[in-house]
Amino acid sequence: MTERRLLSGNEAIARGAIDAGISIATSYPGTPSTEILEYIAANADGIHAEWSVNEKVALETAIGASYSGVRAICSMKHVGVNVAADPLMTLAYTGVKGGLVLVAADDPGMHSSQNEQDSRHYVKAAKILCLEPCDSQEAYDMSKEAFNISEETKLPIMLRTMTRISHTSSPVNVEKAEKKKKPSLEIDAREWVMVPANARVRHKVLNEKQPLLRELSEGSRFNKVVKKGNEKKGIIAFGSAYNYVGEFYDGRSALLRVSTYPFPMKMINEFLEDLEKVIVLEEGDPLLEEAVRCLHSNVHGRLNGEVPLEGELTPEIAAKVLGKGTPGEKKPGIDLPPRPPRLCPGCPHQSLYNALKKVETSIITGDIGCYTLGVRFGTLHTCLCMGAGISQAAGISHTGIGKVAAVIGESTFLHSGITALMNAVYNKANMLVIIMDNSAVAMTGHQPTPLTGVTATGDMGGKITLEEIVKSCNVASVDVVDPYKEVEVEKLLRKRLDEKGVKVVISRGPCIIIKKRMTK
Amino acid sequence: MKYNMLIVGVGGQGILLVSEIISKAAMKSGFYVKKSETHGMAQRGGSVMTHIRFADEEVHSPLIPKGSLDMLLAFEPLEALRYLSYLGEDSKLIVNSNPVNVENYPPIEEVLKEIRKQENSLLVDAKKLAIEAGHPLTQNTVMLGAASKRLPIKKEVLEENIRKGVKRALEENLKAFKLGSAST
Repeated sequence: MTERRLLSGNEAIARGAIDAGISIATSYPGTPSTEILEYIAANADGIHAEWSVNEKVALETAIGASYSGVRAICSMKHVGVNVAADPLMTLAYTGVKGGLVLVAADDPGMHSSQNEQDSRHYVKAAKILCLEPCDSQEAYDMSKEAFNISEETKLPIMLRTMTRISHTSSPVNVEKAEKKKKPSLEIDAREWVMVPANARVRHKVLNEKQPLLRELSEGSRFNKVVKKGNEKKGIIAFGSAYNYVGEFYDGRSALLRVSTYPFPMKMINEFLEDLEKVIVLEEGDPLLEEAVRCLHSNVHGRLNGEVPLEGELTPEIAAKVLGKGTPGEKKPGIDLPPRPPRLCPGCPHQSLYNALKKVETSIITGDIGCYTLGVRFGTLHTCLCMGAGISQAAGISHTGIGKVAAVIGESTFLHSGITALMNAVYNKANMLVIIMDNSAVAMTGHQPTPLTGVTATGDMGGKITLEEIVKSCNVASVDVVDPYKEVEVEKLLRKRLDEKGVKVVISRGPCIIIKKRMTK
Repeated sequence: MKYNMLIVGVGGQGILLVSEIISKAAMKSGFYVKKSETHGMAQRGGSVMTHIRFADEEVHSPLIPKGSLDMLLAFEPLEALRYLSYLGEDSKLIVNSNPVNVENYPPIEEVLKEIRKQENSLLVDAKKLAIEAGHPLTQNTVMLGAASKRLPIKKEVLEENIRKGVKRALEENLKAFKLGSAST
């Protein structure tokens, strides 16, 4: 029994995981991955769905469930995989029991990210297998299939999606759900305790799995020769890039679709036979293109400059590289001012920034969230990765520069600011940390945090108190302020900036969008 | 048959809801549908656009190639001009004439003049019609109504999906849809 539904790529991945019988789903919010966990939390009874405090914790939690024999999905944005890379690399050694799928949502073009790294590099580094869909139907099919491959290879499988797949809706034939697996623990310390003696054995086991991964890739139904062309020109499209090839395909050139890593090199080699020219299209870095270049001398793509090395693919880029003309573009007769995102009217961050702007500082290191928009207001001077602001401020203070301030959101603080704060106190930095607590992960759509005590499914969870965490780090002072009392806040910030040690000011005011919703 | 439609405007104007209604109605009408959204910064008042494509057969690119648009539906006049490059020879351009302010907004008459210069362009005072419908926040359904006569989707199917998709002020939204439709 199938049912045809219009689902976004993220919804399709989530639906696929539910229908594959997952027992647990973990994630940390991040565009463009957020809706995967949201869908599971909203649509599945009996599945443990959680917002974890960060991606490393999310993956480790999923690993625990997998070790217990059940299926688990862990989703995150591409930069989240950096945070989760530590467990991921060694998980490939220990292997999994219940199928474990790691969804990495890349953001080529950086619609809402600080970089546009290609998650397939991690697949190569971890020596695992990756699938990349081109639409919601494939996202659904691959999500289900990935659990089977994971159990067959006893390895975590990466499902790589990206903005234009995750946030594009197309029809999906939804099938009947499989039953969940029963948990059972079969402890084998030689497989799970990665002390050197065991890890040496497990690395060998991982290497011995590689021929199986290549074989699965060669035989995958997601790789196919669409046309064995009569012309001398061939096109190879990886995963989502097929969309742009399909749009302009002339029906004559040879055409190969590849959607798996490790790349099916035998299949590619056979396809290249008799071809004089090959075009390779893929989102992200030229990984497939590099592989094809080992087999062919006339390859066109990013490495010869025909496709830009940065940014996402567009129909216009594809049309050009495939030799299609593009029509002349209409332009307005007047200059258009940009319309960048900004803090909402009444935003508590804005009030805090109004006060902070009046105070003399040498630098305000920043972090990731709505408050990063302070860059336009001159109240934020760095943004690197989650939690970096506090450590950067400490480093600056250790050079002897005074009046150093750091701003960080409460969820980012819990994600990876706590360790930085402990480190700053321990190593005697002189700095002011402003934690902006707006009661939600606002930027990604108001997901709850441990400070709200509400879980991803809307149930009551344990509640963490921010002040107690900060106090337990033995900081010089902790103040909780109402950001809307700008004059008082300004006075306090000025005073604290001149004091020795690590001082923390918690600026507490709920996100204005939440506040409006509550008063409706 | 292949239909390419771009809906543009400012975060918070209800573009995602209208895109959802059109896409589901198109699917209900038997078309293959692809709808691509920009989410990331949408809530912060930034420029927003949704690509909707539907056809008798499978649609490939999630993004509409420039110059191949059937309809540009703009909830804001300045945003309409931002996406002119997507217009083709026979594209329809339907624009809400009410501006959403931003720093250095050009004089509104100049903006509207640029829109009138385009062939097949149509300005709709969605604010006035939304107030007439009984709720100022129904401007998006007014615009959906204004687009409806030119879409290859039956009015009843659109209305059915408004009923399914709209969470608040349903009667006002249905009236807004009718007023929008009657205005074109």
